[in-house]
Amino acid sequence: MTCRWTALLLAILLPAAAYAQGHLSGSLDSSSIYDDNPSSPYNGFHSNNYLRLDYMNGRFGAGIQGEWYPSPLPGYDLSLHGFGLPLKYVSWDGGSWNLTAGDFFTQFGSGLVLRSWEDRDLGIANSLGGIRLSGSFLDDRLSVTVLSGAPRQGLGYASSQVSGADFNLLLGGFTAGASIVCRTERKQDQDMALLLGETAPENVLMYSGRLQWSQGRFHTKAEGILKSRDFTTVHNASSSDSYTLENGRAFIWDCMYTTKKITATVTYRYLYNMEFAARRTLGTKVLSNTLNYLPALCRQQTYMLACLNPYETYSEGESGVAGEVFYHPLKNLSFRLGGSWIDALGKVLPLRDKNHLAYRDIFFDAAYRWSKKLKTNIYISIQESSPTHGNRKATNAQNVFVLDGMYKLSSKFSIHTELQYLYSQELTRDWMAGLLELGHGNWSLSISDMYNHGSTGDHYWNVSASYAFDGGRIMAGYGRNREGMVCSGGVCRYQPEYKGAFIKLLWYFNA
Amino acid sequence: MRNSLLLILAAFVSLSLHAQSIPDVKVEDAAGKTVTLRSLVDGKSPFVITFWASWCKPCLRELAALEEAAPDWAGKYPLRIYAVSVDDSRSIAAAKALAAASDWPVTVLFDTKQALKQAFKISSIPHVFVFDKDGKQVWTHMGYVPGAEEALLQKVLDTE
Repeated sequence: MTCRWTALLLAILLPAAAYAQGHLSGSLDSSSIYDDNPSSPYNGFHSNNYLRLDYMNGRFGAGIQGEWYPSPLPGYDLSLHGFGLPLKYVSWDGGSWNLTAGDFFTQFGSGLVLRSWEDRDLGIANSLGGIRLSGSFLDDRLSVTVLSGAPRQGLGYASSQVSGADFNLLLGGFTAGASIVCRTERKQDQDMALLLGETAPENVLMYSGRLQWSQGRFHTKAEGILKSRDFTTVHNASSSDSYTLENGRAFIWDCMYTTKKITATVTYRYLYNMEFAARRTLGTKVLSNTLNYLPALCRQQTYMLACLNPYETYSEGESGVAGEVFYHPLKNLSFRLGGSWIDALGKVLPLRDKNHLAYRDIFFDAAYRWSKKLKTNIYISIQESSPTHGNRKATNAQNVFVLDGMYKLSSKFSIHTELQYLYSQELTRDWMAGLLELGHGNWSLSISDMYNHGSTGDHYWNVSASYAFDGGRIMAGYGRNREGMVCSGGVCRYQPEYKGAFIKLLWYFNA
Repeated sequence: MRNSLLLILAAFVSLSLHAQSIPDVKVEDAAGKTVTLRSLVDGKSPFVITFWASWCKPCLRELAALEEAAPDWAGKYPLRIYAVSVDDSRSIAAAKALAAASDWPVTVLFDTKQALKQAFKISSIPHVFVFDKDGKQVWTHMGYVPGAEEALLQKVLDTE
């Protein structure tokens, strides 16, 4: 398959390039670590490398991405091994329509029914390999996309097939949209069907309808999703988990009110049986083995201690609300106050018959610019989460306090510091953390430490330096990384502990 | 296989290519209207595209630095800056709130489906691109440290 694609791209691209007045761009992204802990299962060298080339000539486009994993970084899908060309495409832009053949990324609506995307930090790459046709009509008021393709799995393709269509229509202040997605997976390719009998449906459909409305300062949008019968896990109180076939459904509603000084947002979301895997398996979940996007509803934390125990969406069943107010009374002063409350649905919990708390938080952020040289932030996050996703009453609470300061010594020299404290009576109890970053021109030096003085006495420290050059950036360092979840955009990847050196290179180029 | 790839790379790099390098991707403005990226090319002045997100602290520092520097630039340079938010459905409300309440001297655009992010092969933010008046990419820079906004302005002036 890969050889055929390379030959096809050569046949198309080389003649095109020979007469080219086109444009070639590319990027190289390489991350490597050396774990020097002899007792670590990850002891040794690990590296993820990506080379992407895109060519554009008028209406014609083509691209290819080579990936090389001599040994994947800790926490990444172990099926990523060796060299492969998991992304290659040709496309034609016909003005009001666009045709892509090969591998592509796409999203329908908010992504609840379909999102194929790439996030290398998370190890997500669930492109679809096939064909996509999209078009715009009625002065761009109507847009339509139809597609069919096989989801990426490792460096190849999953055995399933995904087909779908998406429509969007603008009507004055209204935008209406609808999507349908069908995943086809033959019975003999399904782990669950092989283990659990013949009841597994080969086709699972997702339907989405959505509406968006804006009037002056007020914006609102809602999306409802129905999913045809698919396997869901039944957690039994006195025995191991089992599986059943059920319909799935979801609903999300966003409201926003904006003035020059205050903006308020509220989101409500309900999910039931919304996992939509590229390939249904009984084994360990792999992040890339998903076709839809179910981010955590709560705020995305960025400070080290605030994201120590992040919340992950409970796709089997949860409902929650999140809100935030941003107040900007002066040019140099702003406040953010918000929070979330997420319940696990009682019917998916073995020991419960009604909804119970899965996660809640409140946060407050105040930013003040004292002068052109000095800025400070105070951040407080009060979090409470259920380690059993609401199944038992016990919860873990943690309160995080952060003081963040940035001082500009000159136009090119800056110091950035963070002091953080986590107070908790549960889990590993109290933590403290500090960060010092020095920036000078294109150079940056960073030193950080997270110290668990409440229980284990462990230090997780890092020293790193980076240099930015035209079109690229290189970063190298040494440190000890804590076992935990690495999150981005509400999606999390398990990161095992490792200690050692790392180097990362990002380079963008144009010909 | 690797020889084939090297052949492709060598063929491309050996070419002298000079054409508009901006992809024809659609994003939304603050009012929810569709903006085609190629419509930013006016044939008269260079422009800047910087990618940011509501949860990216260096990005917010960069935008605040542009706001501070704006009075020095205003009226002197024909500077057009487009700040493209790559916040997805989870954080788009926060991004719109920030954009509405801030005085950044930029036009904020929203790439909620991250089509533009994919087209530009963005893997980390902030990430800034400078284009000449014809839409040819002339400079790119990743990350932000204080003072980087001055290098950006200088690059725009050099491009004019």
